[in-house]
Amino acid sequence: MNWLTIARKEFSDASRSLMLWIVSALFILFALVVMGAYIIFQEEFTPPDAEPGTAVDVFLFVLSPVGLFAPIIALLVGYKAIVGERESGSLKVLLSLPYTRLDVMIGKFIGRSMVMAVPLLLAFIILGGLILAFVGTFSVLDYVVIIILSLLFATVFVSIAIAISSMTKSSTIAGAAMFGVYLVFLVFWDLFELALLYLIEGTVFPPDPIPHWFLFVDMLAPQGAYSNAVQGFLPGVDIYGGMFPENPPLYLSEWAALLVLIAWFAIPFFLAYVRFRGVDL
Amino acid sequence: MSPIELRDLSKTFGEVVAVNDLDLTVDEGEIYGFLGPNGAGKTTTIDMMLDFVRPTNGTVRLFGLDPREHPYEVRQRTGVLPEGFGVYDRLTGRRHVEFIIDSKDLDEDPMALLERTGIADAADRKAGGYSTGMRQRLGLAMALAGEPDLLILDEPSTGLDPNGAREMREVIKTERDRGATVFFSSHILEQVEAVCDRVGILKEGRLVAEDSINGLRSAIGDGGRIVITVDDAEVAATAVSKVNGVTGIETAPEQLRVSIGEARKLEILEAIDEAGVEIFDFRTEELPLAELFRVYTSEATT
Repeated sequence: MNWLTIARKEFSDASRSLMLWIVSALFILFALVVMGAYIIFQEEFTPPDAEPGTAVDVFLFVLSPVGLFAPIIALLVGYKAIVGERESGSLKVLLSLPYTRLDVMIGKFIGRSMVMAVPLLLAFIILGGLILAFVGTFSVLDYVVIIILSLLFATVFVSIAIAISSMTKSSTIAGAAMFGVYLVFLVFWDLFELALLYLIEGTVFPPDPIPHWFLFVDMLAPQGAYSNAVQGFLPGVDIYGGMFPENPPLYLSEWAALLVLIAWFAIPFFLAYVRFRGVDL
Repeated sequence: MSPIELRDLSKTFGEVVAVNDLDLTVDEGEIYGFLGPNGAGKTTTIDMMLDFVRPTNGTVRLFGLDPREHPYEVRQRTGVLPEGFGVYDRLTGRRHVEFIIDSKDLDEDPMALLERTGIADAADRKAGGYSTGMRQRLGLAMALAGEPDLLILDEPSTGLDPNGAREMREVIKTERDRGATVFFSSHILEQVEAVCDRVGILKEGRLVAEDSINGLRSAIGDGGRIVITVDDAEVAATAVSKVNGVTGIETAPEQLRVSIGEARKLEILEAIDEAGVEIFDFRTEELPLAELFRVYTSEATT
């Protein structure tokens, strides 16, 4: 448990970063604006003959900004964690203490994830309160599931950021790599899916019904897995819009989505550790 | 069990041999000065002792343990001030020391440590605003936490003014007197001369000499020079020239300057006395330390 001391130090150090608070405030503001817009204009969003939006609809609507914005904060929180200490020379102090390199990576991860969790939880608490006030009641259990999955999703990016941070000696390179990670997952992944679609089906317009492999590739990215997991675990939400009258195949289920999230969380971190363990500082 | 024991230690970075077949033993309770010009491999050696850098060849033992296999035991007993020590800009000096105390699970007062190294008045300021000298003092306070059995200080006087460097030496001596072993590196001989029991000189990754300062002097035949004021320099010079080991005599009226080489100062004085020459005064002239250091590090000594 000795990484706990590092985690506490990380939290008190990183949480004093002004930039982080500005970005967090922006995140909360953004989530509120999106939700406010949905509540105010929900009639525009819902077809005239449909039921008015429920609390769950609002949550699901707000998840897309979380999916876009949380990775940015997470990468920002994490990318300097190790490379920054390597550049400043404080890593040598840290590792001269009774810690292994694994302790350092885990301590950094926990500490920075806690920093990440603060604005995220704050945003969810405010959102929950506002939905309760303006839209309607919801199941606390469902909401907790959403929050836990959102935290897991965000920590995937903290974990990737720490992994990359342990692999380079320059925070400039680490910063550029963060930008790359963001682009790959949140921009290029969609393009990649479309390219595959074109290669396999000969069209860039998803045919109807959507091929299962396409859904699977979409779920292999963290944000796809996150979205599928949230919707899959919420009762009464059908992600696939009636494609699967029975249950979807196992590889498209919410459990598969959860597994994908966990894999993104664990595999880059583990590979980075294997490298960091043996490297000359 | 020696606090530090390095055997056949080598480290190569690509084509560059940073440390070359280094054998070094530091005894318990001594102050060992690790000397060498910049780039001689001092920091690489220390990095290998702390398992920051992995040896290409050879072994490191601290307290008889491989620091890589026993990271907790070794680090718990060791206090380190790394070279180019960096602070956490946003944390206060006090918080830094508290972090060390928590990490080593100690029961100690951070302020007492900061007071010992003369930085207590800045304890509640963020360390990012500290000067190099202040950081160095903070780093020393952090290294001292928990009365470690071994102190490893890499260029500890970096950024310190002469007064600060003197205080640093006082702390080092106090730690030795408490029973700690101190290993510290420097590229300036004057700084280690005042405190070190033993000095090792590193040149191009090899240990070219290892002895006390006096031992180092006599090893290069520098017993120094002795300047003697006498009533009859001619007679005295003849007497001195018969003393074994003397390498040179310059005479002036009533004065002779003897390069004593391997000879002992007392022998020379006795020889003059026996020749019936009266000695009014004498003083020794030793090779300046910087010169001594130069001899070991720039001439072919292998």
